[in-house]
Amino acid sequence: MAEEKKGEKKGAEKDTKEKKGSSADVEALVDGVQRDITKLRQEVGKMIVGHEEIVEGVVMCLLADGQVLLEGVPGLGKTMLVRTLSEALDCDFSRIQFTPDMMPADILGTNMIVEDEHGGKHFEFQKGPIFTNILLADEVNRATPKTQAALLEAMQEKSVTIGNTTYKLDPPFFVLATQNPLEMEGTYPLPEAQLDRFLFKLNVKFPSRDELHLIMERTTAKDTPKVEVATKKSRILEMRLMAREVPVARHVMDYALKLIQATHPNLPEAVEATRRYVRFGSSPRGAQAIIITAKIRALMQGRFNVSVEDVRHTAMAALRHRIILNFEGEAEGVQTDEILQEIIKKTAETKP
Amino acid sequence: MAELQTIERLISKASLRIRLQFIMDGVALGGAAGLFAATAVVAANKAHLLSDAQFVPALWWCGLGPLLALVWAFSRRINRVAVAAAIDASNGFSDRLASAYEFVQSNDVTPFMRAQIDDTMRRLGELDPGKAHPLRRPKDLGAVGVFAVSLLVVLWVHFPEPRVLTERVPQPRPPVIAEEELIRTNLDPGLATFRKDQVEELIKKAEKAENEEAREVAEELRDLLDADQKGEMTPEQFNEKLEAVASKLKSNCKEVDLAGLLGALAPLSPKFKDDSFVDPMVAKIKDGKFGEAAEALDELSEKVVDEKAYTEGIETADFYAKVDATREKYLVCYAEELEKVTESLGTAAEELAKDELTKDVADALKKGDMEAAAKALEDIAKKIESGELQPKDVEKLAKLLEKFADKLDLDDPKIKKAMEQHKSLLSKLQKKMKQNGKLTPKENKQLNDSKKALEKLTRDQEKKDRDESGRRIKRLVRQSRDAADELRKSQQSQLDKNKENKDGEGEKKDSEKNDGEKKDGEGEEPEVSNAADELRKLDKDQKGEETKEQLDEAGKRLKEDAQRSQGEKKKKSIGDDKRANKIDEYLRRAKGEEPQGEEGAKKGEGGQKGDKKGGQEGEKKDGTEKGGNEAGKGHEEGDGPRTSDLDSAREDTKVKGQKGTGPSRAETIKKASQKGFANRNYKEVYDDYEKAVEDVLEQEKVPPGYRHYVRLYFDSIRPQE
Repeated sequence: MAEEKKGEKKGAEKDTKEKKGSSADVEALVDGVQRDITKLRQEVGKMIVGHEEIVEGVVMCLLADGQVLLEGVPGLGKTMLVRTLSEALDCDFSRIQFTPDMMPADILGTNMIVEDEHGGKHFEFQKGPIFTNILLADEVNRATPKTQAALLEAMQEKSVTIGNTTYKLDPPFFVLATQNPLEMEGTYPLPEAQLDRFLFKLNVKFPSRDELHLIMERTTAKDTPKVEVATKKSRILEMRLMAREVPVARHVMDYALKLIQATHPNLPEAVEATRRYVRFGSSPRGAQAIIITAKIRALMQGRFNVSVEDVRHTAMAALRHRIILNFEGEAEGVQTDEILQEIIKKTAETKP
Repeated sequence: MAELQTIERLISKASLRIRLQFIMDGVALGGAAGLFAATAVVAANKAHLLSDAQFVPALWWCGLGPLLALVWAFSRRINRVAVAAAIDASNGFSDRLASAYEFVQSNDVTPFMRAQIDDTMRRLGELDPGKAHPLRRPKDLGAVGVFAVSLLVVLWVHFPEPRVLTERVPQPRPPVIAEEELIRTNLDPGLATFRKDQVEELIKKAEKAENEEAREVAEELRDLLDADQKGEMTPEQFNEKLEAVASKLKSNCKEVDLAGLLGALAPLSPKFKDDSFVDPMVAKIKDGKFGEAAEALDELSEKVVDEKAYTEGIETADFYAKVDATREKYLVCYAEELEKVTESLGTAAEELAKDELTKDVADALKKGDMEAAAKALEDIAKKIESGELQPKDVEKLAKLLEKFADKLDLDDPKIKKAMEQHKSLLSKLQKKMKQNGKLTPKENKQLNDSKKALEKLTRDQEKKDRDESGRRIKRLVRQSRDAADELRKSQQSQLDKNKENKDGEGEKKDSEKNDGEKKDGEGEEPEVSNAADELRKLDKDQKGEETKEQLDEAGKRLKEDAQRSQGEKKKKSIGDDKRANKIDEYLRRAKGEEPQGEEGAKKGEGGQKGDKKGGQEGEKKDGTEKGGNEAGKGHEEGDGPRTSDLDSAREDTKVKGQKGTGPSRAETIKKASQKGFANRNYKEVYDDYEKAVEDVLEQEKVPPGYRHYVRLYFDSIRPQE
């Protein structure tokens, strides 16, 4: 099974190399990506009303091989979004509802004594829910730090180690963790170091009235929309590889790095809001996240280059969980989005 | 390569516009600066501050401004990638041109880059470089207009001819206040007024006490203060005078050159040397009775003046001799009055010492301690009051007090007799003179002097009668007698009652008798108490030359004030050093170490004097002898620092606090939490607050980490059930 998948991946790489041989081929590939993503978004849009930015962000994270943290109050369709996405991608889907008494073995799996047909007993590893393609870690902040650490390690390494054996997770492995901003009492908020491992943090907002109308119509009618498979797992891996090929001009990358520097209060690039409310700025992971997702955005729009606008667009989701506010910021209830907006507004591009 | 040229051409178009904008901005800035400078140059020329020869070159320099700005605008570097990005941004080209410009110049062009370049080249026709940098009005154009108008105004305005400056009038030099003028007085005016009031008080006291010597010294002090406040004295003069006045008091009292005095008297007449006038005077000086000695000396000097008359007629001489002898006798008696009293008290004390009951009184009287004697008498009074004394003892006590009173009889018959004799002699002399006819002027003067002397004697006698101590002694004697009489009466009444008891009265009457005894005892007690009070007052009188001491103190205080004032004004570093040394010395002594240096070597002087006079001596002898009546002066006179007599090695003592009846702090707080500080119940207030807190925590954006602390705080102030 594993060998089969490996061969599939290699084939995809070969196809990409062959196809991108000429400019016309590249254009064709980019068109194909744009088409697939559009279709994927259409399929998801059948079930999920509104939340275009969330869907776009989730798709960008999926293609960037990153994980996403969704924050929003219950009932906004987070689980539905993930389920629909898995259906549209024809991928395995698992959901773990985190609770304080959950142990790492509950998500990773454990060795169990199994009796064979000859009556002999041996240990056999029983895989946990993490062995899937798309994992919904619901209310991840309710689990104890030990369990959170087990999940985050698997997210980072794309593998699980039980005893002396390491088990690789099937690609694509994509985690969507959710966090409820209310009822924080008795929870274990994710530490900054672990938040940094999420590529994006997306805030799920309450839908508008028109969107609510649509939701009511779709969810209370006799027939529920049926999601079709938009693309396959192998295509996702292909698109992931292609995304990394998108070139970035230096002045665009320079702008992205300026944004990162502007989040650090002690650097000269810092804006006033940063100096006043920020304790620690983003790590270089933030810049990586901006650039890779900007590339995917360029592909999604059928472009061959990353623009400053792509950087501006992805910076919010890539940096909002990577900025740590100081006491004044916490006390005054300043949101990191406000600071990022000011940073983006005040950080100038290179002037003639 | 062709792609690069195409892209660069497009960028150059935009760059040209940018350059043009730079030139416009530069010229506007340079023009504004040049116009400003030209305005200043023209104004200076018109105001004759700049000569015509300098004017034209200056204008040329002003024209350099726009030229320099032009050069700067042309030479300014333009970032072509940024220009391309600006073209992209203005045409909604998503950084295609800028990226393509960069990718075209790259050595390793990937297929993706190639595709990007191709895509850009296909779309170049859609681009309008002019949109990237539309020409705008220079920012400094307004300033150019303002300065141009200013220049025109300056050219148009007529400047007045410059005034010919007159000679500089020398300004008066600022007054230099000499240091001597600043330090006008040696004492601060406020302090001087305060001290003057004190001295005035002392003058009044001295006048009241007829103490001429003290009055003179006090007046001198007052004059000194007046002179100082008028600013007539330098610090040196003031200190010298103050020293002189202070020492005068001492010299009057203690520094009599006895040998010199006798030597001066010797050549006058051999009579005086053997005269009985001299010896008592010498004796008085030796005894330290300087006031009396001074009076005797006055008498003697009067006599010396009239030596001739003294030797002319025996009768007159005898007369004067008798007068003077009487006078001397009186003076001696008067002067030693208090000693007699003390002696009398001692003699009386011997009588009292014979009985156990009054032994304490006797001991106290022998020592001259009137306080102790008074206390002992009070004890006796209490015993009488409580009925502890037997009738026999009461009788004995009455006799003793009578004897004590007899011994204290101070109406000296000898003095009275001498005065009468003096008067009779004087009248005889007057009669004789009337009979013989004329008197020589000298005789007349002597007669008048004698009259005056007699008058003075009479006054002295009256004064003695008025004198407080004399009156008190008399009162004491009288009270002692009365006390003795009362005791005797009570004894008599007791005997009478006993007799009546023998006649068959019941036991009840005995108790009444006892009551009666008690009452009698109560009647006697005030008399004895009064006597004790009188003795206390007498003791106070004996304790000292109050006015003189006060004057001495006033002098010292003035000296200290002057030193302090002068020291503050001059800020002498020497004084600071001395003070620092004193502080060091004090700290050393506080640590129980021996003092060092010269000052340390002087320490014994002060201490020794104090031991001789003060009450410290009595303490040293384990209380077997009572010390002096006055606190020692010796310590004050000592110059050097003294080591503390106290042993510094003490053990710490912990004193436990006592719990009072009031509420403790804990109780108060507890009470406040239960009842509240205000009228409203604390619980009600808390409930309101708790509700508000919960609402805020739910509705507002309180950071998650702080919710816990907010709740914890409100839990901590929750009212106790």
